[in-house]
Amino acid sequence: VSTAAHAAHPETSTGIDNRKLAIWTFIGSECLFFASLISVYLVNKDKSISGPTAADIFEIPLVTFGTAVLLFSSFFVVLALNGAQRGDKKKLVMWLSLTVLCGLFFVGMQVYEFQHFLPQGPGVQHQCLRLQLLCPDRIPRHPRHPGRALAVHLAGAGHSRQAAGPQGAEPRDGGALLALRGRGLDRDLPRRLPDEVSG
Amino acid sequence: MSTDAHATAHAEHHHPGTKTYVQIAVVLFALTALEVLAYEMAHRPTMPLHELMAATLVPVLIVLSAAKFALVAMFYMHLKGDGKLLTSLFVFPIIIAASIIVILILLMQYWEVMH
Repeated sequence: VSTAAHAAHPETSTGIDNRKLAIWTFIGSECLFFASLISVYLVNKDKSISGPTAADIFEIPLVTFGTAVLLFSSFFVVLALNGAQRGDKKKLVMWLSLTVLCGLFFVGMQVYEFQHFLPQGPGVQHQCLRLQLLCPDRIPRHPRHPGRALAVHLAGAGHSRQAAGPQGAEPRDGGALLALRGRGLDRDLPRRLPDEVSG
Repeated sequence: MSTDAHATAHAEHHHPGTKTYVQIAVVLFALTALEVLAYEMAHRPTMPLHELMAATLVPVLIVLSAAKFALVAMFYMHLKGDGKLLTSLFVFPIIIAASIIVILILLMQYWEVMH
């Protein structure tokens, strides 16, 4: 390997550029993060009492178009990389510009979705997910209930027997942390969401 | 730098060319079209193989999307040409993530059946 190559890729114990190693480690951790979110969605899917349901709010054509834009941006960015590797500046700039355009469109789509969804009602106050996460009354009280384990898992607090309450009957695990988060928001929950609370 | 490290470093530079990227894009498009076709077949009684597709839609979509995912990771994210260490860094969390999702769904189903 030439001196220039050594300068471009400093010697590492793995032989792999540390920056590349770091980004793949990040992507691996993202997989676990999204596994938690997808699990919550699948577990709570179609379980909202007062709605709106997923069928009420998701617009399949828009989501399909957004997915296509994401795929195209992946395609454009590898073509930009190809241009960079060949030293073709014109090609690099062209494909990179298209990638940026795709990114801007996707961000715009996200803004539209949030502006579109919130007036329809599916904000954090109405979602089954929010009730699971932020409302202590909706976190299953049974210590072995999988929903409780999921809430604790998402809180990132673990299940600490050492942090048990004074009587030791109700461990102060992630549920307690979630309760603290939800306390201020949930004082007037029975008045605002009678159907969901009674359910 | 050791011989293994040399080999790994050289492998990092073996990225596919434009032709391969376009071919992969065409395959991805075809797989997406198959997904749409499978969905339409499952939801339209007038389509051929409607009953079969209605019964097997989810596994079919999972297999097709997994194939697309693998193609993107291998070629567009260059895992195919990179070292096995990077593949392991990606695949191991994927296995854990899939296990988390499957186990939690089974746990919830079990709880609802039992209570």
